Amino acid sequence: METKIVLRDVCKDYGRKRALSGINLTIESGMFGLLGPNGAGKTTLMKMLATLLTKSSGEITMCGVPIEESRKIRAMVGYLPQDFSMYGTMSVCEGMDYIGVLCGMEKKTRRERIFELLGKVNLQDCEKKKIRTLSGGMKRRMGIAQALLHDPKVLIVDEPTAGLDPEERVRFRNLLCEVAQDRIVLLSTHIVGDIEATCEEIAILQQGRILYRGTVTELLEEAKGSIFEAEISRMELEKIKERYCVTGMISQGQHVQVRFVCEEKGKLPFAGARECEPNAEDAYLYLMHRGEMR
Amino acid sequence: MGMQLFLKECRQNAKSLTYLVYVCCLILFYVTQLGEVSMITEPKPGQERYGTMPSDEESIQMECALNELFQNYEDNSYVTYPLGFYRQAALSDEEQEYVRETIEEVAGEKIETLEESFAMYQEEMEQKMMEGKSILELDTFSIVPDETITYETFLEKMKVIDQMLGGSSRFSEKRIKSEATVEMTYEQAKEEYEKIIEKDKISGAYARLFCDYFGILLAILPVFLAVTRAVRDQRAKAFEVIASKKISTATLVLSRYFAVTAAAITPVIVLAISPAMQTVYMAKTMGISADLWMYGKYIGGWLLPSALFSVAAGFFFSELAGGAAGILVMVLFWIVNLFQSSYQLTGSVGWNVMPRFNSLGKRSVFEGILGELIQNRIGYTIAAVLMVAATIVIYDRKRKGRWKNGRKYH
Repeated sequence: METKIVLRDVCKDYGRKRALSGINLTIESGMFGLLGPNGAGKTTLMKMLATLLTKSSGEITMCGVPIEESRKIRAMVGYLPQDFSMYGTMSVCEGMDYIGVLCGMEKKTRRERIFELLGKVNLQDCEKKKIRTLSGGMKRRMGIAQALLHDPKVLIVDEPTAGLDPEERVRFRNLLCEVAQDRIVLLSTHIVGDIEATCEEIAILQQGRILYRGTVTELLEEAKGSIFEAEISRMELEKIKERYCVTGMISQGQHVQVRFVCEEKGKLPFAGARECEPNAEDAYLYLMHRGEMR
Repeated sequence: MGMQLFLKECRQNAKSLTYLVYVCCLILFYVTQLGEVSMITEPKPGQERYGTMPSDEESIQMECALNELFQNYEDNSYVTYPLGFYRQAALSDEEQEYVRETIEEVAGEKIETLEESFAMYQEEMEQKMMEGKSILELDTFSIVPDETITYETFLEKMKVIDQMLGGSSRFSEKRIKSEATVEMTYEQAKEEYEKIIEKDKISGAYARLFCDYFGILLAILPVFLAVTRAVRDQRAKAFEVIASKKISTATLVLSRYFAVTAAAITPVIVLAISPAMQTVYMAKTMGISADLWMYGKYIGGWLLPSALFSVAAGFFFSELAGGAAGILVMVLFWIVNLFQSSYQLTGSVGWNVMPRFNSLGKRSVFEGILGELIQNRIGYTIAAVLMVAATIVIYDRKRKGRWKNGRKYH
């Protein structure tokens, strides 16, 4: 059976509010990034795929199985929610074992997998530690271990790096890339750096709709010719902010080095500005604010 | 999967602080209320009294109610139990006048005559007590209803007074019938004793008393264990992780339900070991072979349905409305039931969640209520099954995001 998630015209309503509208996506094996601002509908989509929410309309299949067959879907999905935790009074090992039972695993297999995964996420020395005493980063690592416990075909991780320090974040991203070799890893985040470092295939959500679907390279290509930088005086900064979407700035005494988006491709916005190579953050902001700029 | 989860849940329950408090409450209650086991003794001819027994004789029922009415009239203080709650009521002059006329009509004598007789009785009693005689030796004061008054007429008249008091008074037909007692004769006491020996094997008589006390606790305390378990996922922010796993909702809920029920009933079984052994020893000294498992049978048939029900209610209301709603609902239900049974501590069953039997022995009374008791216990077990089934449905909807904090989505 092909490892693939297919969404066809999927909508989700909360009462009168439409959270997702006409989502069409095909996600294949490997890392897939779902990017979007807060409230774009990423978590709703993740929860729907983890069977924690039901769709209002449309069709979702996971490895050929319709999402309505929740038991089969749950057997093939590992889910790490945005705010992962487990019973604080349990030790890491007890917590993992409890989850193993919920996954229907045999005692022997549970033991082997827990040992293997705690090693993989670098928590082998914490197996007797109470869950409530773990740091945020350790908890996330335990979260990824529990999601992988039953060796799922699909791993869904929702905002996994939020609140982590830079070192933990890099370690976590590398871990996700490692486990994505033989399964789908669906990573949802609003941090562009996480996507840039881990995913080739991405989708960008905005207000419940897919704004972009493609590769990071294609996204960069799309933004090419629209990203500029210039050295301006502090007095001019406000004017630039009003006219363009500023993606970065560095203060240099009375001057400011700004990086901004200008939609008119191939044309210098003003004297002194020069075109530059877009990075993923520039490209993302270009896409989000396209049409808004004068 | 179910058994493994059940064992893990049992371990979790045993480690919780709520459970520790629960066990302490049971031990404290046991020590203060059931610490000592008094002996059942064989009645001997010539004893002053042999105790009382309920009477289904119409004349006795009329006499008991009439005497109570006379006392209440004299004090203008009538006890009623609206919704099971104790309340003292006083009647207006006009209503008192009606009661006076009723007493005179039923007794066939003027109220002044009855009052005189009562005053004389009190005087005589005081004098005898001053002479150092036991109260038990004195005849009790009693007004006997007039022979021309039929039982039906009597009930009609009492019904009017009951309505005057707002209903649920001592003069309702149900209470007139259930609260009439008569002094036992030696033969009746002997017969009662023999039943305790033959049918109860001694242990049964004590087991009933044990069930009476622990029934009160098991109708409420397990709710706290159930609610603690039901809200643990949300409090630990573990709901989404657990809900996204393969396990079926039925297996998940049932494992938790049975683990909490086992946690609730296990300390009761442990606490029953000591009195059970004492009664076995007592029976042995009396030359009777006791039934070692009698306590187990009573706990299974009498107390287990209470635990099943209160745990189910805890789970159901917590899932339905979120938070500690189960505790609130069950505390109210428990209070109403407790007051409803307060007028009759031995043999009050009906649909009370805690059937009362606050007497040692009284096998005849027990035999009289056994059918009702079985019906009651089956009823509560069925209610528990229905609530657990409803909990499974609600939890399953929650897993799919169709129900949140007592609100239904879509």
